[in-house]
Amino acid sequence: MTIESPVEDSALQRQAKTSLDEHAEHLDLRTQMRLAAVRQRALGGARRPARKPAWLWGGALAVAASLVLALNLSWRQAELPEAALFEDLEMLSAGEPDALLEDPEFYAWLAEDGDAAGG
Amino acid sequence: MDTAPQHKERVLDQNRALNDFLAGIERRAFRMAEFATRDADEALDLVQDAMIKLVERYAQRPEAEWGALFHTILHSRIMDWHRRRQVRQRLFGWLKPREDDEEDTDLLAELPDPKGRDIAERLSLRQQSEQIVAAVQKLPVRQQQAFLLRAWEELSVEETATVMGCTAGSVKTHYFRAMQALRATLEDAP
Repeated sequence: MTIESPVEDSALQRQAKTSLDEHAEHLDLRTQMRLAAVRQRALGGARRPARKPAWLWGGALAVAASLVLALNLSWRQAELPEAALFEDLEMLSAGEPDALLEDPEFYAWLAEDGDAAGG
Repeated sequence: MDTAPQHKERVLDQNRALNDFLAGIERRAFRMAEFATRDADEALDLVQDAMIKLVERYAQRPEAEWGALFHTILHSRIMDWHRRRQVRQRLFGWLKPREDDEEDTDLLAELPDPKGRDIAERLSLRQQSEQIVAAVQKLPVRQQQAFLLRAWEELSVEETATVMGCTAGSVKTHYFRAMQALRATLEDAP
């Protein structure tokens, strides 16, 4: 493995930063306007769209699970363990998947940071 | 305790500060998300989610912390997006015929180079810039995130580790590999 010198690394890093800055500056007008709208929505306290009722998710999940299991068992026997399949379906249909999937270390960091800031 | 007008003024000041912060970061955030998803609409959704969460939950935090918090949220959203996509592919990908048995994770390598047109007419500096951007786009997502946070957002190794929820050693490894890939791309370029 070749270890490059820090000088070469920093030159490449500078070059990359310049290129990326330029890439970010050259957004088309439509995207710029959409970004501005997104920002205003966030600042206006927009909430995420209301989630569908739980029973709807439950029904959809049951149908999807039956379909996937039937197809899966008949076409790909033993390739995907059932437990993993149910885990996946649960992840897809969970009400708050983001919170479940976010790294708990983030919250630990926030809590520590908050404690430190609070004295 | 603030009087009502003072409170109103403070809220307005905070909104102005948040607006300035988000306006300053939104283009880079969009490009980061676009690199990771290769889809402008998905990227906008991720940036919107990150902005909303920052405003809803962390607006009261000191302004100096907004950058790290925003990147932590955005990184989390990007990784969620990738996980969900992988789950969907695992569950439903086999319904679609596959041309071969390529693994699902290297999303970027599957697309044609978006900057591959009319390249002969461009100036060499411009060419190099585009090669760098294309090379960044092709990096695996963790290397890409480590590289963008370190080289573009100029976060320290420790800050990047906090944002990515991994160790400083992992950040260094991802970053080193990203640099190797970029260097190789530039060396191979015509």
